[in-house]
Amino acid sequence: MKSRKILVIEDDSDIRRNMKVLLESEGYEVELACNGKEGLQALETCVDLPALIILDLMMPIMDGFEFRRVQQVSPKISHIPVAIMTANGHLVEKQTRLDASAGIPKPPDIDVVIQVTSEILAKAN
Amino acid sequence: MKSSTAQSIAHPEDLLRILVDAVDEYAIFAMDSDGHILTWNAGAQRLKGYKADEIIGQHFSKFYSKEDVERRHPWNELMMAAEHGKYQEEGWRYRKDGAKFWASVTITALRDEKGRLTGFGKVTRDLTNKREQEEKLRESYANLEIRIQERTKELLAEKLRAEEAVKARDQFFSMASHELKTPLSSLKMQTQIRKRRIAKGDYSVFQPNRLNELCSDDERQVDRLTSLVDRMLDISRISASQFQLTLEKTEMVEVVEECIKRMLPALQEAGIECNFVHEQPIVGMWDRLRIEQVMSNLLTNAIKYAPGKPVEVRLLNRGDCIEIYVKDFGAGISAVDQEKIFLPFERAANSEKIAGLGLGLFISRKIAEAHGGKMQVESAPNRGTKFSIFLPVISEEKKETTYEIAENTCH
Repeated sequence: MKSRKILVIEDDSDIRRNMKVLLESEGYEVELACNGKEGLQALETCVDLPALIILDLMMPIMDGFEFRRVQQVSPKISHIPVAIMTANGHLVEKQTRLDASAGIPKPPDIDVVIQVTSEILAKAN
Repeated sequence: MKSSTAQSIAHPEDLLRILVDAVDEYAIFAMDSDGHILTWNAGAQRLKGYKADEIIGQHFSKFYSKEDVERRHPWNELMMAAEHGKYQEEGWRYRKDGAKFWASVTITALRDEKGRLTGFGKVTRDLTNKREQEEKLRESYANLEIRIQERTKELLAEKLRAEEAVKARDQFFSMASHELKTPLSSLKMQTQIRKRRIAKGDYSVFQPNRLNELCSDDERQVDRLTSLVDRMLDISRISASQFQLTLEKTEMVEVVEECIKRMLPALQEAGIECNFVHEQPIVGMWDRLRIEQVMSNLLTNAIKYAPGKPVEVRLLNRGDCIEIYVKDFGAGISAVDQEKIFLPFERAANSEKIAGLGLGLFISRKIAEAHGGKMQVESAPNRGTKFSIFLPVISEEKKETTYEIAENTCH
């Protein structure tokens, strides 16, 4: 069965809410986390794993870099593709460094978010 | 002179003797093969201080130090001159009065026509001045070297400071763009989501209640942007010394309570329980909006740097002044960083992953100082952080509309 679940890890509550509204209106199931640590907890406890993680990089407690480092060495979740989302430059360089499937610059264009999401999910399923 | 010259032409050996006698720059004398002095010229008398009759027949080791004599240096010089034809060196020699001078010495072995050693000729030149000059030169060269090293060190430190300032500025621009893009992200998404809905024929966004909600969402993002821009403007006003307060009769308990209430959703989201302890209402002449700015900054710092832990806010009446402090139980700030955090664009070492402009505490301290008060930090790694702001209680009679950044009146 095809998973339509997306985990959004983002520290800004307004961006988080907007991502949820956008992705749900596209028919995805959305789970939210405020930082990397919460994201890992969500992955730990969820019954069915998400098909994509949209990851902010600069966050308190555990940032996107640290989250990705832990994710990549955790067998259960290492396969889940990640799209990074960042306001500061060097998007391609960061995407390569983090071995991410996509990079979304901030402020995000919703068409880009929708396109990236559908492409990655099509590949994953 | 004329007669002696005529005489010297007739007897070349006499000419040589006359010339040698007249030289007073050099000590020139002959010795027998054991080193006893046979002749003495004007230069020898000037350099060594002995008259001819005092020294002729004496051994030339008289001019050497006790140590040189003990190690048989004069005799070794003669041996070497005999062996090689000539011996040269520079070294200390002693005058009759005991004063030493730096001498350049040449000893030449004299041999008869059959090659047998008949004695030695010795030429000595006083190089004390030259040596002193050389030493002075060496000394000033060494001093120069030290000064160059010191200056190089200073320049390196200056370069390091400049590089740090540039780094702090770059970090500020990077942070500023990040901070500005956060509310812009929500604004852009909200707008685009609505357009997309309308394009799909979903007109629910036009329902009055929904529209009102959406406008409030936009307004909040615009307010966030405005406050960011204001903080950046504060910096340029502070740099231009145009930072002024508008003092009004203010009740501080209410101001602090209001600030905490406004930040309650953010505090709760960060898992922070905020405890406000205060005494009786305290009225004074303060710039209400600026105090709110300080409180909001301190509570935002607690949210960013000490989430999940309680925060204690206290308002204390200390007679001439009031103290408001915000104490968190976060990671704390190292002693080194405690100096840095009040400087513009500077942030603590552990704050790299946390968004912020590095301006909040700098502006907060300036606000306290503009009131004639001060701001302090007490912290230690893993022991939490307490920021205190002290503000003088100014009664209404002394009211002035604006204050330039004043000297501390709170002690």
